[in-house]
Amino acid sequence: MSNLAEKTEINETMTDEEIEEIRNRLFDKNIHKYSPEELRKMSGEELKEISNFIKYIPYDTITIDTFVRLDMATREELEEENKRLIRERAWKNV
Amino acid sequence: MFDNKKRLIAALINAKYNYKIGNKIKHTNSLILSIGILKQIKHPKDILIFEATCIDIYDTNFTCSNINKINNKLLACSSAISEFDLFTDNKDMFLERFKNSRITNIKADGIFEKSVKEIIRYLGSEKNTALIEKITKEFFEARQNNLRNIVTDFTKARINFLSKQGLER
Repeated sequence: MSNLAEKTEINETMTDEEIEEIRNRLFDKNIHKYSPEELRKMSGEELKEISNFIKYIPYDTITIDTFVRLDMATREELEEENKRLIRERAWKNV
Repeated sequence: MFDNKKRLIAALINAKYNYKIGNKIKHTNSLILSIGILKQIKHPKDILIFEATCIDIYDTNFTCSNINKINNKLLACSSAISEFDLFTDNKDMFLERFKNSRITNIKADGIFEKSVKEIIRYLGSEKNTALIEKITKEFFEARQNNLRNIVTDFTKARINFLSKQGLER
C-alpha cells in the first residue's frame, strides 16, 4: 500500500484495480473477520455499523456507471466526491 | 452520500469477486451483507432501484453471455419505476391513460404489476437453477420477497384509486 499512498499525494485519481485493492482489504478487515454464522445473527443496524467503512472507499468505474445509469447521481458529482475521498485518503483510518 | 446504495454495490462487487476466485466463505459473507441491506429498504422505488442494481452487478455473468436477458430485466425495472412515478406524481395522467386503454377490468395487472412479476418470475427461475449455492438462493428469495410486497401494495392502491373514480368495470 505504500506506493499507493504516495500516489494519492500527487494526484486525485486512482485506477479501478487500486480501488478494488482497498475495497477487498477493508472487506477482509471488517466483514470477513466474522464467520457467516456470526454475520447471520447480526441485526440490520449491526450490519450497517460494520459496513460503514464502505462510504470511505472511492467509486470505481462500475459503481460510477451504475449510479449514473440508474439516475442516482451525475458523473461529475461522483468524480468530485472521489477527488475528495482520494485527496483525504478517507479509507486510511477505517 | 448514497450510503446504502454504495454499500450494496460494494457488497455485490465483493461477492462476485470472491465467487470468481472460489472463496465460498467470503462470497457468503458479502451476500449476507447484501441481504441485510435489501431487508432495510422499504420504499417501492428504492426497492426497484436496488433490484436493478442487483441485476446489473451481480446477475450479469462473467462472460456476459446472458446480457440480453439482463437488459430485458433492467428494462422491466425501468418500466415499473416509470409507472410508479406516474401513479405517484401524476394521477390525472395515470387515470387518462387507463381510460384510453383497452383494459376493462381494474383488477387486471397494469404495466407496474406485469413488469415486477416478470422480474419475480426471472428470480424464481434463477433460484431453481441446478447447483446454485444456498446463500445465492436466499439472496434471490430476499429480492423476490421485496418485490412481492411492493406489487401487492401497489395493486391495492391502484384499485382503490380507480374505484374511487367510478371505474369499476
